Amino acid sequence: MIVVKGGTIWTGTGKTIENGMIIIENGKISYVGPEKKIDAKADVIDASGKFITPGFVDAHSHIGLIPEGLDWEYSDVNDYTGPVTPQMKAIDALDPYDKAFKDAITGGVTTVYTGPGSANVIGGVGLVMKTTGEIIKKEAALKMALGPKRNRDRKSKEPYPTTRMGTVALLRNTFLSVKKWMKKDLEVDKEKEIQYEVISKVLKGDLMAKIHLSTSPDEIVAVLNLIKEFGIKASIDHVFGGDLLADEIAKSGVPVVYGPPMISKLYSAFRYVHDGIPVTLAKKGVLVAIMTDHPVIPQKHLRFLASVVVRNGLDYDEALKMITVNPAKILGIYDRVGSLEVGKDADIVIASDHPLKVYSKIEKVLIGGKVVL
Amino acid sequence: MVIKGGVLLTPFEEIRDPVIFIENEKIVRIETKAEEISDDVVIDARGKYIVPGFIDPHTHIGVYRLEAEPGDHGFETGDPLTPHLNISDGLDIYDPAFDDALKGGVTTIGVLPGSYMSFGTSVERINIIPGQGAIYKTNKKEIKRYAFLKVAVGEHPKRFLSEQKMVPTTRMGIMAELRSIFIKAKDYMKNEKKKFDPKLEALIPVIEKKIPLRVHVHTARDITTFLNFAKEFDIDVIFDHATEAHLVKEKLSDVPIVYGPVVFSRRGTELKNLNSSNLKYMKGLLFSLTTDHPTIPIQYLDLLAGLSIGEGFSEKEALSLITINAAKILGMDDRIGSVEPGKDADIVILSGKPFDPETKVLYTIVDGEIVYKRGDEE
Repeated sequence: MIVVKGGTIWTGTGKTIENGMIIIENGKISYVGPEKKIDAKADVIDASGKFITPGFVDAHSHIGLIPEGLDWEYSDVNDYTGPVTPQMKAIDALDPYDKAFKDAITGGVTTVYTGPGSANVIGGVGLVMKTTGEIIKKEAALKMALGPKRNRDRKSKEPYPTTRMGTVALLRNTFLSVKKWMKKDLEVDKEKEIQYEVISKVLKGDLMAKIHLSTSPDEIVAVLNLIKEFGIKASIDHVFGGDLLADEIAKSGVPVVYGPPMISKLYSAFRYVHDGIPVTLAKKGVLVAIMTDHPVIPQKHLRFLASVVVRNGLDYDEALKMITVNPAKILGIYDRVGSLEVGKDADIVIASDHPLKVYSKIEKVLIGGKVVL
Repeated sequence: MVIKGGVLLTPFEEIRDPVIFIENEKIVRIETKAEEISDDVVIDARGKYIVPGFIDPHTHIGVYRLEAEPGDHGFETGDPLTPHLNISDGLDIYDPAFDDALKGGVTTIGVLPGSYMSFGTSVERINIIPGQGAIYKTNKKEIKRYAFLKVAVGEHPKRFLSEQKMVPTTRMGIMAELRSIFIKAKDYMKNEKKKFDPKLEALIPVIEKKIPLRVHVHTARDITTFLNFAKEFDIDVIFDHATEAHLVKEKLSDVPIVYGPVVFSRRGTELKNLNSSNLKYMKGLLFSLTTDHPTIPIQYLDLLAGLSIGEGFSEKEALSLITINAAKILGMDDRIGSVEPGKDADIVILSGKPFDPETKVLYTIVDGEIVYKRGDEE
């Protein structure tokens, strides 16, 4: 039994407990509340004067797939086999020994999504894991990406669409074909069958789609239509230009993973980047998480990016939810992580001050009840 | 103009309820008790914080422009040595980043030729001498046209030249080229019957120690190499980025450093040791922080500085990193970097404590003029 004693506990459920206590048994939280007397023997972590939050969750990254400190040639996120590659699995490429994981822990990040990139229209299956290496969901989401594609002159098995409309059309026609295949109205070769098997999980609602949108607002319109048309479960990621369609996104009920905050509006391609987007969307009631897109921004800085969202006008509570509660809900793992509640994994961050104050220090991190920092 | 009330961080000391008198672009005096104030403009700063305008000595504002069509370049790609180019000749003062700077409380910037760290590419591209850098106020006034000469060493120029099928292709080769052009410039200076050579001409102020070299460098090995080079030619250097400075701290006691950006991708071998936590090893050195805009957008300079407090710096020290230290490194601490009588009236009024994410810039004053006031646009 481990007891975290004293301090301000931000549970994520709307409750903040002063002079609180968390009891951990078998890696899970068995008590959260005001300090109380304990009879049993316990390892006590004194957190008096500290700020205690759930471990941070990054809903969109490429950690372990693009190694740090090496050149781009060592990246394993984009495979140019063809524009539709649902057969690719992040788990087959993951390097759990990437030192970025240890570094992420120093920033209080305890759970991450990591997966394929945006070069293909359907890129492959991403996973969710703890930063200690434990895999939570081997198949967490199927990555899709809008925007024009380039296959960089490789001999791909099928041609890549080169326009925004071409990408949307390929996605729609693939979904339609898979639906027909599911109803046995269409026969395809074995190679396609392997692909369709994965896509059918999305169409049946067993696997979420993670849809990359970064070029312009018309992609958001197209994707919201597709999501509605096929009734799939999805998050829309990056969402540059999302502020312009805040009402439509709110009405759709589709959650958003914005970011990474703090990237430049460099060149016309990024003219819709605006760090006020997560603020606008959150105020409209959209479920919003933010991402590091690691290695774009090192994962340990997830909380710094949440501070950037505060700078752009959101309050601390809502911004903190964007790296705890909200990403856990979006990834479908809120039953295990994202808040400090009885029965959940004991993933806990103890900081010298509110963790979104940029000058606060992460002093201790527990994952599954184990002190890892 | 008069600014009245609030908490002034000069940043050397904290003065409560100051009255700051500004005349003809300068701060003329600071009092703590002013009975009667008669002035056209009185800014009520009660409950607010007053700090010097922030300074970023290393940006590419106006060079790699925001929202522009692709194609901007900060250096010539056909020639490894171009000391005769000046960044002011290719600087777009209509880059929206100037407005972002003002909204972020940044009042003075160094603008350098060279490269930025782009997403999706493993190696930053740059030639060996990209050219001359300038100093600007963010009200778009040019302060010094030829303020420093930029040089790049290590993996970045090496890779760039290899990709371009140009030479040299090693660290040895890069240093040999630099040595050669400096020796030529010294001979050129002595030669009475010389023919005008714009490249060698550009090196003269460096050799005469009128301006420093700004050295784009990341690794400890390249820092060490360049310290030897600076000694060999008796020139002043400032190290920029200096990612591994903490590994050779003892060699850097009298070399100014423009450090960072401390939050960025650890892309490629040059940046493998990049970590904002290394700030704790930088204590005691003369350094300032940079966004390397557009690498990190200029308006977040103060948040980057806030990270230093978590690594053991005091609030005053953190503020110094983006004010007086930066002014010293630019050789302009007689004019900017602190709120003191005699200095340029470059002042920022904040809604709350510096470095708090919820704190907003309310006023940015450059040369005694309000150039940004919060509220109009939101």
